Amino acid sequence: MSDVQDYNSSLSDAAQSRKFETFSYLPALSEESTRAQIQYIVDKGWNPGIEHTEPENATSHYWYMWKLPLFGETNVDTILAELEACHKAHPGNHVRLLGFDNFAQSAGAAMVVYRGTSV
Amino acid sequence: MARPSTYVGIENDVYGAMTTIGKIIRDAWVFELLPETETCEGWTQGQIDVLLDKVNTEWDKYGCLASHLPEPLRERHQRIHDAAIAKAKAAGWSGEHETIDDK
Amino acid sequence: MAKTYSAGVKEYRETYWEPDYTVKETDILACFKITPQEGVPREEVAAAVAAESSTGTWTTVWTDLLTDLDYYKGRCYAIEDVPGDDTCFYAFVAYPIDLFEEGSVVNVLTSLVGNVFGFKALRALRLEDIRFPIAYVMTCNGPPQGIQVERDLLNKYGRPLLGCTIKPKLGLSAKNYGRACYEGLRGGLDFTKDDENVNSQPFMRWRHRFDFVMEAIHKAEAETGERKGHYLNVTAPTADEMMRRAEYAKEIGAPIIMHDYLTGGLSANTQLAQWCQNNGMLLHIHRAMHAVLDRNPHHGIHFRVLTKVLRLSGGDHLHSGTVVGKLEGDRDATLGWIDIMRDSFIKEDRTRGIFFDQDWGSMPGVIPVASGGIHVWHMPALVSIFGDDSCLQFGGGTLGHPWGNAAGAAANRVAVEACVEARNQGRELEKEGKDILNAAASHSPELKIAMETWKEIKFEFDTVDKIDVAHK
Repeated sequence: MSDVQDYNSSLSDAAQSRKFETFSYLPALSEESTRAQIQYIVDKGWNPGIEHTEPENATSHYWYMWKLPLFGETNVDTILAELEACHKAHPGNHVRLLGFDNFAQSAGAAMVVYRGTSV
Repeated sequence: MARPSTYVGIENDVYGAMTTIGKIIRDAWVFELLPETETCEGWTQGQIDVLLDKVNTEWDKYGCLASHLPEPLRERHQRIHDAAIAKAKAAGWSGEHETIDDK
Repeated sequence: MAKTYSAGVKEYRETYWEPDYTVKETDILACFKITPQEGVPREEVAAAVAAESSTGTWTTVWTDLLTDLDYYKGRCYAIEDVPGDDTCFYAFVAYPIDLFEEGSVVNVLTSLVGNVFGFKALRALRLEDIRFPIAYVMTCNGPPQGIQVERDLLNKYGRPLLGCTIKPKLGLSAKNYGRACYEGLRGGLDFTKDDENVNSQPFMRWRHRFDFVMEAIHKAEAETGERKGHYLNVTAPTADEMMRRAEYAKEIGAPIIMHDYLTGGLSANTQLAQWCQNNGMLLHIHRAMHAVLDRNPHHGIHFRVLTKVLRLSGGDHLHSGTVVGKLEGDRDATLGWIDIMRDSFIKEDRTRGIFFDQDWGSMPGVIPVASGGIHVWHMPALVSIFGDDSCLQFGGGTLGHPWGNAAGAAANRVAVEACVEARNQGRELEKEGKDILNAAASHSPELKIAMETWKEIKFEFDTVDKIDVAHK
């Protein structure tokens, strides 16, 4: 039997290969960093929203919405608590935070805060 | 001076071999597709192309990034490329050369 | 009372200089920088420019009386000094909207700049700005998708987009070309780009390039889970051929194509933009040849006009210059035309060379593309100056990385994300740039090497065209 090592192709080496857009090329955000990003969304006057998905569905545009967008919520602790609650309820899923910009009619910010195990 | 029809060899390449072919050869050394003594002097374009295919196949195993290489490869990559960068800089190469044709 | 006919050469200013004219909401307005021949009075030259860019002929002919000249003529309504330069002056001309075919920037340009630039009474002439009334804007198709739709299509929010022009460095086979694209996209770029000269030369025919590049895109997408694109250049010898290439790009699933709008021509560009709109395709626009028109500060067409013309004709990306890189670019003027690309309403602001209020209504915006001689050390300034709705392209700054294309791409992606994170935290990018990049480099060997390859930046550069600032 040959003792040449087989390798995982990029396709199967999900942990290393799969990314999820903004900030996924940086180390996972710490709680302090997450707070700073939430503060940014709040300061911009955007509505925070939380979404999550099973890693196998991560390439879909549409993730599950956690409750409703936190319209008008400006309290960082409250928003952080919702993120944690979503993570607790769906511990294997990616959880992302968005900031909805009513004027641009787009998300001004979007970042995965809890990283599930990619597939 | 007419353009050479075969590769001049990594020792004789411009900019201390900070060129596309130079990078292919260095990566071939890293992946042990060639011994580090092989300079590829006299190789044809076709031979370089075949080598490139082999190098690409190796990189595909690691998502094309050096920071994904497992340990023995990672060290070899660091050593070979650090030496190449130092040599290139001594030969007058800098990042400026790379962006000078940009538009 | 009907006018009577009297033959002969009239002075222009009798008919075309109207300092008491009240500009209409529906008028198209132009600002010209006029360098007159010696000895000709300003009003006369300005009036001549108004006439020769609208209804004027060199002498009054009797047929003028068959139309209501007063209704159709362009008229100069204001003259101003150019601060700091008394060889020339600004003339403001108003044109009635009925002079122009709807939805046709081609027609507007033919009228405004088609005949007047060779006029003998002028030593030089530059079109500085045009005000398009909202009534005219609404007759134009505008950008095929616009910024928000682009973000939705690509699922990319909250950061600038990243690209790289692929230079065929190792032979010119489509296969190697595709591989270079794959490596850049795999490493972390959003887009790779055909060089603007690459159309369908004997060394690489367009169809082969398109096929290999799409394979590269699909591979990079499957592995990274992120959406990727490559601007496939459909610029062609004829509009028919251009459309054929665009259709093929759609057939093979490309999300974005590219066109050189000045050399390809505005007629072709508008047609392509309308097709892109009807086919869900993004359109990247390159401005090859712009410097022929906009580089001389006294003669030609200012780039801000070319920007407006493109937004109306249609494009989702437009190269805007980098401000910080090695190519020409006055920072204030560039910020001015970036606003013109992106915003819905831009107020008159002479410090940024904006001569008129410009209302785009709900016409979507164009993403400014910064490309040319930039690398990782420029990233903090780029993020600070351009903001999220931009596309930053690093050609040599990606392909020149000592470890290869993917490493260069990863270095740039890590750098841009680190700068965005820091900016959101409230840090000052242009002051703390070095620290931000160093911190990011501790997690990214690719970035670390990139920072050692290129030199830290100090911003001092002289530009050819600066905003005329008052210093007299």
